[in-house]
Amino acid sequence: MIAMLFIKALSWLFYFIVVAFWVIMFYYTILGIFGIIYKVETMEQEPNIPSYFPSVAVFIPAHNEEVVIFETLDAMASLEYEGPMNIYLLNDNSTDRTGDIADFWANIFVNIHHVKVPPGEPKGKSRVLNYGRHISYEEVIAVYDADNRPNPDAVKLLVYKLMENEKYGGVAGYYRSYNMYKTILTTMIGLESLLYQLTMQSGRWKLLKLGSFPGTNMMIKRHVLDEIGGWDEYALAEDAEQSLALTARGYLIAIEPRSQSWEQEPEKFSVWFRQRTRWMLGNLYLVQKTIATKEYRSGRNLWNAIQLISVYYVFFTFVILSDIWFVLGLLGIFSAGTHLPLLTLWFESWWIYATQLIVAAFLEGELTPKNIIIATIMYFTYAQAWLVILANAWIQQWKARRKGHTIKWDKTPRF
Amino acid sequence: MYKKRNTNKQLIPNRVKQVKTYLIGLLSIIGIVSTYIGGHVLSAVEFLTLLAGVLLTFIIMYTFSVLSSIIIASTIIFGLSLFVVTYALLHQNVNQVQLITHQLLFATIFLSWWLIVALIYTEEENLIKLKAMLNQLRKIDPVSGVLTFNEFISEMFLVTKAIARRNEPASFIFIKIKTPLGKEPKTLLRIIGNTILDSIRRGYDIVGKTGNNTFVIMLQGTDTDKANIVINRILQKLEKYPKISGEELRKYMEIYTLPATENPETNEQIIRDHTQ
Repeated sequence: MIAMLFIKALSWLFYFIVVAFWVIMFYYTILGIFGIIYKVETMEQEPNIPSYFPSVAVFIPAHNEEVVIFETLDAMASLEYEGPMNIYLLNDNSTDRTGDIADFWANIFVNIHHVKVPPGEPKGKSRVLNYGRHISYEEVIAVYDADNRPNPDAVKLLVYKLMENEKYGGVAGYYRSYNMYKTILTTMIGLESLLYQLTMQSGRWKLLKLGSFPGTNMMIKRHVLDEIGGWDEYALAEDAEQSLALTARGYLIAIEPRSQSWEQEPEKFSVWFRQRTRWMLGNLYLVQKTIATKEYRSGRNLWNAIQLISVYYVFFTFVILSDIWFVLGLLGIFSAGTHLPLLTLWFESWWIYATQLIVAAFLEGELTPKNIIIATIMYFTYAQAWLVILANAWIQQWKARRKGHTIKWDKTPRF
Repeated sequence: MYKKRNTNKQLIPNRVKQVKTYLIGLLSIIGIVSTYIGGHVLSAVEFLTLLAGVLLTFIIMYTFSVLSSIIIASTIIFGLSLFVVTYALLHQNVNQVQLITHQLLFATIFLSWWLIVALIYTEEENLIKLKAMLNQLRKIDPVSGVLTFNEFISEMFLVTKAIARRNEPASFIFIKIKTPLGKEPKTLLRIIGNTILDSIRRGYDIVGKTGNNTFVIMLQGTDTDKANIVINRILQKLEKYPKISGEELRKYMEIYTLPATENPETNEQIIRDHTQ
């Protein structure tokens, strides 16, 4: 009797999981469609040129970046903007030739400045950015990672968008991979980032007027930054944290797909795994903060909170449960709900994911036979690694909490 | 009767391009519709086999060539026929209509996707070849706007012959930029390239980028003394360039002049010897 009741309860649970999967699938499909609409709309429109051009500070935090910083500053030197613009290379105690390279560019270009950031704690990007905030005066601040090569019009397009509406506290552009075709891994990362920007950036902006800072090729108004107290120096995903803080104060983060910057993706699996684990840890920290902070789970942020919690906890639990269910079914130990459309659900998940990747690649001019093939296998490979990364992040977070440690910021090695 | 030849032939006739576009469009519709039906009609085993077959063909196509993928594609299609025939023979009460329907669906899905990718892949290969040809034919360096090495050398041969005929002097100006790690500063090359072009007699003097960080100017009817006037003009223009500290830039630049000879081969050797 108890066993029967247990199996019935499990059946209901799996039925609920199937419905929840369907809801998530539906949500992402709608985001994809809205993303496509926004992207096409934007590409067909001319940008609105403002009547006033605010002064711009471009921050580039850098720690031992000699491999990439020459090309980054070269791209920065080519940036076009009608108003005053200063570029600050925030050198965070580099011990390699980053400083020499920065001096080369700063000596020649009067608007490029090599700023030596004094040592301090906690280590990481946020502290360096806050230092930049204190030594600069410009009305708006753009942030680029040290490996970025923005298009010459990237900054001015961000400014144009930012000046469109008083409520826009910040604006986020697109980032692309300049080493997308170096390895299969970089191709997958490149395709995933195109999909992320199509659904989570353009799609959410068009559908819900929600956007988030990607940490690079982004811009924020100084008075808004002052209002939120700068960057959270303990946050591992300072960009996501800042996005919530801005939204909580009623500001919007607009998306500008025309502004594009090219960055370097990890070429080795181990580097990618570490980078994504750090991002994941940052997002888990953010989930905790969201639960603890009322303003992070109210108003427009409510949707952000639901999404964060559902992706990092609920969805993960569902996937693990369904995997157990699948294995038990294969072994013949337990089989629940043969009437459930599992194959269709599985097929549609793969189909929607692969199709969205292909459409995202098409919209950015990256549709090649190789990318089509990779898009079809990413669901079974790249996307599944997400589960391992999330589990790893959970374990690391649990260990750190048990030992009372603070998880430290970790720099991504360059190639 | 004499027929006038069409001298305005296009490389790819419009009709061919249209046929290819329609074909890819038609195949895409067939592929999407048949895959959707297949997702519902075919069993999990059939569908997974189909998926594996498609992936295998794509991998062969990517690793080897479109032609190699034809071998695997035909093996799958013919192998499927043999399998169906054998299966029908071994099973007496088999639903033959269902068997044939499944086979047709399988083949339609497989062939449509393979053909779409093969067509796009062939187009991409053609595009790569055309781009390579374009690079070879390119006369202007895309970064700095001056002549490429090959184009500069071929122009230099013509100019050298002309000055030898007229018995005029000619000189070279070499401009090199020294950078950390020996990298190519694209922004500076663009600025310096534009400045040089503004400082010389266009259509008479020639300027080329002969190495990663080296510009060469060949001045006709100009000895090295007069070439120094041109060097000063370039430096003055760079001083006035917006956002740039000309004085600082000068520290990273090496500029000097050398007389050109009346022998183009010797001149080419001089250029090669002084190129970074």
